[in-house]
Amino acid sequence: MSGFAQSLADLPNHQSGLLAVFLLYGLPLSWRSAGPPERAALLTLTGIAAMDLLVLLYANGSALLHLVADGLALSWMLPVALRANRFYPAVIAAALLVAVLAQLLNLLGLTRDAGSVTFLVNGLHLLAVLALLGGSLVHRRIVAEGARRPAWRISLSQG
Amino acid sequence: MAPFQNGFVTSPRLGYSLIQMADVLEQAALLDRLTAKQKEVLGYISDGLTSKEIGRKLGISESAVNQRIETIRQRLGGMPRAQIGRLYRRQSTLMITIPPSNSLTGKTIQLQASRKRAQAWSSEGVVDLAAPDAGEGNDKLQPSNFSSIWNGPGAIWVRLGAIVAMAFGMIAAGVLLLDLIDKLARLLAPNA
Repeated sequence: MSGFAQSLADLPNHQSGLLAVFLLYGLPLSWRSAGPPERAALLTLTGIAAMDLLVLLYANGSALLHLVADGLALSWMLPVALRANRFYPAVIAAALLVAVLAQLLNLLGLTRDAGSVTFLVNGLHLLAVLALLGGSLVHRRIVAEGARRPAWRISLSQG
Repeated sequence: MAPFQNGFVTSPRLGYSLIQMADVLEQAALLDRLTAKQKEVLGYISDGLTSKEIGRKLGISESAVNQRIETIRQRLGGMPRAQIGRLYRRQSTLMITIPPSNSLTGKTIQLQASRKRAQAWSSEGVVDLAAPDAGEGNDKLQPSNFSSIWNGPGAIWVRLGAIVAMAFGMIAAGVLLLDLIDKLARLLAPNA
């Protein structure tokens, strides 16, 4: 990859800190008006951001630990996406799925360029945050109109 | 028997359902005078919460909650607290059985009516219904296509499929974006 693209790939390493700050400030602000799916997504993304920072600080950016963090986040978000009475958790789950696959391929040495994988993974994390932001705003608007919005699908057992 | 004949409702069940809906919508108009914050307080009152509990949920004092309740009572013509709670609950949820002539044949659904939107909790999950006063073609009480697919039978498989499809889309977009960046970088700095 060329120098310009490499510098773009390096940028997200610093973004994870910004993301953590954004989420940690956003958490108490939006917690009260959020429904259970929004809270689950907020906790998941905050967890990823916090783990990213810890891995960066204490484990020298270990690819395996990044994969574990994203894998845990995916295993937490997938049931939420399948059960929630919302659309955006599915977008977050899809973004995490791609992030996990990309990191797994990178760890197995099946990718040509680790920088591109980092760029892709951080871009997907950003997409997940934007999906959460959009979903939370939509939820807030619906609730403000006076409508009650169930958090989960009613007939979970029917598949 | 056909539910409609010469423009008149002939099915007693459909007629009763329509009267119930009209009643709910009339009360909705009454409650529409309230602000979003007041409606939030009303929601908690209808759930049977005390002023102290509501205050804790909203992060305000008990006296501030009582003040809001007093304003709501004044706006609704001095109704007692218990009555406005019941009114709100009745307005926001109504058990209604759709008559056999409808596309949601014979299913008992829980209807939530508002000026713009109505939602129904049925055996098929949560579906959006067009509110009777929301404009053209809404007399059919049909779930929206997206919602009925997203929450309908087999929703788990639909959602899994959507997640996988979105994942493929993201991979394709990512590859294209990286390729574009690479080409752009070569264009801007050919010697790098």
